[in-house]
Amino acid sequence: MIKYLALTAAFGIVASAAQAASAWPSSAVGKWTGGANEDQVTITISSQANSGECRQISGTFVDNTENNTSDILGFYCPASGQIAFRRTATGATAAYQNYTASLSVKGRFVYMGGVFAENATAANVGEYAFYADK
Amino acid sequence: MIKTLAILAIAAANFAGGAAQAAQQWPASIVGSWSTLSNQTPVTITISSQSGGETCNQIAGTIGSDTLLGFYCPGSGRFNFLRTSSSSVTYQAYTGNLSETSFGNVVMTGSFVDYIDNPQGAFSFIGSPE
Repeated sequence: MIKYLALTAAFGIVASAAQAASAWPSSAVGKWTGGANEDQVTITISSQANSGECRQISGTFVDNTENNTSDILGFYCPASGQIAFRRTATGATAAYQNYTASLSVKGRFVYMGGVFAENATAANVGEYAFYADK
Repeated sequence: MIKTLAILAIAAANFAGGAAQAAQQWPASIVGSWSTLSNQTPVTITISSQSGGETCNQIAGTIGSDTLLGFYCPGSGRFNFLRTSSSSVTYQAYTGNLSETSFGNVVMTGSFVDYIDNPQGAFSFIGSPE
């Protein structure tokens, strides 16, 4: 019985250490492919600020299903994996969607999972799932 | 025997509590003026319209001197809106829920993200009807 408890405790310590060792990526820059609601999308984060707890990011968002391109502007927090950005028409600054997600690392893949909100098209307003990996 | 009855009484009380919680409804409308504390800044949110949509309704109004555009879902209490300046720059997004407290009043709680101002990141906010 004592041996069993000792093994359980040791496993718990190892498991905790393994979880703590998984750091979030220092950068979100790169090309991400995934889905937003029912559309296939490509998100390209082309820049990330060098300093700050959360760092401004910018790039493009291509909806391959609807065949349109838009701009994104937001931030990524390397210490927590949190990412958020607005989506605007190319060259515009007034947004119609906002995205909130977290990055997770598994092996050589980095995953981005979260939700986006449609605010501008009255018939479709609401929250939807989205995900991507690179 | 007394112990068994006590356990049954607790279970019944819990069941009653659950039923009471399930009976609560979210407000049908979010329209009105709300006094909020956004991060550490007091700001008035005025939602002037709620219409259209299916599960969720589109909302519009003002937040401080800026405009807001988003949605409210009466079936869940969920809301989301974008904050856009007078120069048409969307710089914040708010997400949260309306809840009816045990005192019967409605509160608006959630978080907002700032894409442009320093520091960028996510912050809390809370509000109540004016």
